[in-house]
Parts: sequence; structure tokens; C-alpha cells
Amino acid sequence: METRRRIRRAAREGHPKAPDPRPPTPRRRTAEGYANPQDPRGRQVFGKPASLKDVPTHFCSGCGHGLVHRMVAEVVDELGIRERVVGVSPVGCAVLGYDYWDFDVSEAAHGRTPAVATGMKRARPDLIVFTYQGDGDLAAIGTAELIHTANRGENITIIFVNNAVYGMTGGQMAPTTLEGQITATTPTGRTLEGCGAPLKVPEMIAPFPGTKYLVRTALNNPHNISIARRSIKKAFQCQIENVGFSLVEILSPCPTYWRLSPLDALKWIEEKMIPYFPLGEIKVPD
Amino acid sequence: MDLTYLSFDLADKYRNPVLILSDGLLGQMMEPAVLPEMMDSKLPPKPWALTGARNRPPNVVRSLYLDVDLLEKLNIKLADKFRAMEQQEVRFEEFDLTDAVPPPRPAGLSRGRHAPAADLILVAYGSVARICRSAVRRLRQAGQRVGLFRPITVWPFPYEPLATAAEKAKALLAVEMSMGQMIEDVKLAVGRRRRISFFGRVGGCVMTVEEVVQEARTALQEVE
Repeated sequence: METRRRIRRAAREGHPKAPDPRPPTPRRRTAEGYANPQDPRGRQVFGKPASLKDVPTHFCSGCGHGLVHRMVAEVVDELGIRERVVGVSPVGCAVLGYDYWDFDVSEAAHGRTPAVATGMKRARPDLIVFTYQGDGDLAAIGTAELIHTANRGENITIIFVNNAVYGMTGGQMAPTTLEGQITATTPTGRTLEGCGAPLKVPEMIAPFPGTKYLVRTALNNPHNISIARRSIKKAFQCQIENVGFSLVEILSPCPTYWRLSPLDALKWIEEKMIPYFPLGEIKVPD
Repeated sequence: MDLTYLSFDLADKYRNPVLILSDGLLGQMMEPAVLPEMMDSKLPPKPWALTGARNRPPNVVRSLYLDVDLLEKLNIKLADKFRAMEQQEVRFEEFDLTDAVPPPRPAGLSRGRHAPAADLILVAYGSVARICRSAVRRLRQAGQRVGLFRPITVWPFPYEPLATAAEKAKALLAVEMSMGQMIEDVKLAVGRRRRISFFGRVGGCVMTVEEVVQEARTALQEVE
């Protein structure tokens, strides 16, 4: 009883750590979410990032793209760069990024994404330019652009979403498809002979002096999601501080073309993908 | 060189690629050239540019529209743009085609471009057009009624001007460094009303003035 009174007094006197003395408001769903900022009793504790539009998603259930879109939007808000950020979207499921992000975005020809970003950044070094690419766009048709952009050390950020499969075109084998993984074009599983080993992108470009921040993260659990979010922020900061080229690889579920439930897809990341694609920072700025 | 400047400005104006149809002579710069001073072009404002969404809704540069209604709108918008280019950007040059009464000239100067109407029109662009111009000069000196029509833009192609020019001619000869590409446009412009023949060299071979003169004479003989 005494404690409660003390807390109430602290709140009255405006102690910063005092809890809100008002009785809790019943959570009501509104257009803005569960908390209603119009309600004087309401207090918004969670909401949509300003850089994210309020539109229904087109992604499949359990897809990782929505999460990564949101994390990018949150980081853009946090760094206060919405008015000078420009995204370049890939060819693939994520091409419609501009339907979700509330900032300037360009399309690029398949895989030419880092080249388009290079042009933008060189023409307007004050802009914060990032590409958002899948493994088909970045690691297959766009390998040449990726390697030369990284080797030139362009001061751009690449968000690389690796789901080990071509999603948009119907689940065909990608360069990142795991050994033994069944896809539309490897019905008996990928074999190293003839298909080669799955491509580890950050490791591949790590030796280039031009690359500054390379990291691999995953979306399989809240802990890793939070690391992914921190890594995205770090990569953007790398660009803002003119450190140079940064790439964040994110292992992301594709339940539709892995033929798994969304939950099993997360397990598959943990059991199959992470052992081959080890998580962690591969290269950090000096 | 002037056309190269122009092509960049047009590409900017219409947000449309402009292709400079080069050939070995141009591409390897086989002749000395003096590059003009950098020119300041008056270019249109670019409200669509991705400059950061400050005090405006976000800009998106895209060509993908999954919604068929939106895609149709885009297609119609592009078609309007192409039509505007066809109306405003057709460029061509005529050489020794007309039989208009020549304007008074100081004594001693030749009749220049105002020659009797051409019976045969050579149609050529680029480096070939210059070779054809020499051939036309030589044929005119020999009293042959030959002129040259030079499309400066091959798209949009000067269909109407060529059709008008061809009205008084008996035949046309398309001269190209190809196996015959522009000749299709010449046929579209002129139809079957005139005899149209073709002369081309390929593989990097360049026709000589003599060869063009010879081909032109053959073409003239066929209609006389």
C-alpha cells in the first residue's frame, strides 16, 4: 500500500521512471493500430514506422520480406534519413518494395541494381542509397555488378535477402540453393557436381579492400531478427559516415517454395541454412 | 557531332533512349574531328527525379505495372510520347532533288541545289549519304537527273517528305551499309508507285563513289 502511494506521488511529481498512474485503457483496434492516439487515456507503445505505408501485403504467409521491409523502414526512421534515402528494388518478389516504403525508390534491370545505385550515389553523394536484392538478383544474374561495385568500394548499402530459391518465378534453383535441396529445377536435389556449391556472398567479397562491413543474419527467431535489425542500422551508419561499402545478408524463409509451413521454414533455416551459411559479422570497419 | 549533342538533349527531353546509328567510319573516328565547346542545353525540369522525398510524396521510377488498367495507361502515355516524337523530331535533308526556280544568285556561281527534278532519288543516311552526295554531284555533272534524300532520323522516319519527294521521280535507290534495312521504310513511304532498288556493302566494306554512280546508272536505265 505504502509502495503504491509512493509510486503515485512520484508520477504526480513527474519522476521520469514512474509508471503511468492512469488506469490501463482497454486495447481497441483503430486505423493506426491497437492504441488510439486520439484517446486522451491512450498511450501508443507500438506502431507502424513512418517510412512504411499502411497497405496490405502481397507477400505469402511466412515470407521474410515483410519483416525486412519493416526493419529497413524502422532504421530509416531512427536515423532520420527518410528525406534523403533512395532505394533500388530488384527483379524478384521484392520488386514491389516501393508499394510499402514511403520514400523514393527506383526499379533496376535484373541484377543491375548495384550499378544503378552506384550512379545515384555518385551523382548525389548526399543521398543515402541502398539496394534491396534477392539471391537471384544479386548472386546469379547480378554477380558482375555486385563484384565490381564491391571491389570499387562504392559507398552504398546492400540488403541481401537470401531464401535459397527463386521465389517469383516459381521456386527454381538459385546459386544459394543448398546441396540436396529440392526445387522446381532440381527435383532430386541440388548436386555439387554440375551445380557447384552454394555461393557464400559476403565471404566471396570479403577479401576486397573496397568492402567495409559484411554481415550475415537470419530471421529464424526474435533474437536473430533483432541482430538483423541492428546490422541493417550499422550498415546504413557505415554509409552515412562515409566508411564505404556495406552488405547485410539475411537468411529469410520462403515457406511456399520450400514446401514447408511457416513455422517449419524457420526450423529449416536453423537446421539446414545456418550450418552452411554461418551467422555473424564477416568484416567490420577498422 | 552536332547530332550527338542533339541526341543527348532529345533523350533528356523525352526520357527516351536515342540511338546513334554508328558505323566503322564514325566509331573508329577515321577522320580528324574538332570537338566543339561544351554547350549548355536548356533541359526540362525533372520533378520525377529521385532526390529524396522532401516536402513531396515519394517518387518511384518504375516500368512494372501488374495491374492491367495501370499498364494500359502507361502504354497509352508512351504511345502519345512516340506520336509527339513523330510529329516534332523528323529530320531529313534533300540534295539536288528540286526543280524549283532558283533564286537569283550572283553571277559565276553554279546552280547548286536547284537542279532539274531528279528522275532517280538515292536514299541514304550516315557515312553512305556523303558518298552518295559525291556520286550525285558526279552524275549531275554528267547531265543525269539524280538527287539524294538523306533521312537524318531513321526513327521517326521521314515517310511523308520522302513520299512527296518521290512524286516527281521515276525510281529510288536505297544505298546502305547493310543487306537492306532502311529499304523497308522506303517501300513503306513510296509504296509500289515507283521502282525501288537496293545497293549495299557489308562486313566493313565501304562502297566507292564509282560503285554508287554505276548502280545509279543501272537503276536509271531500267526506268528509261
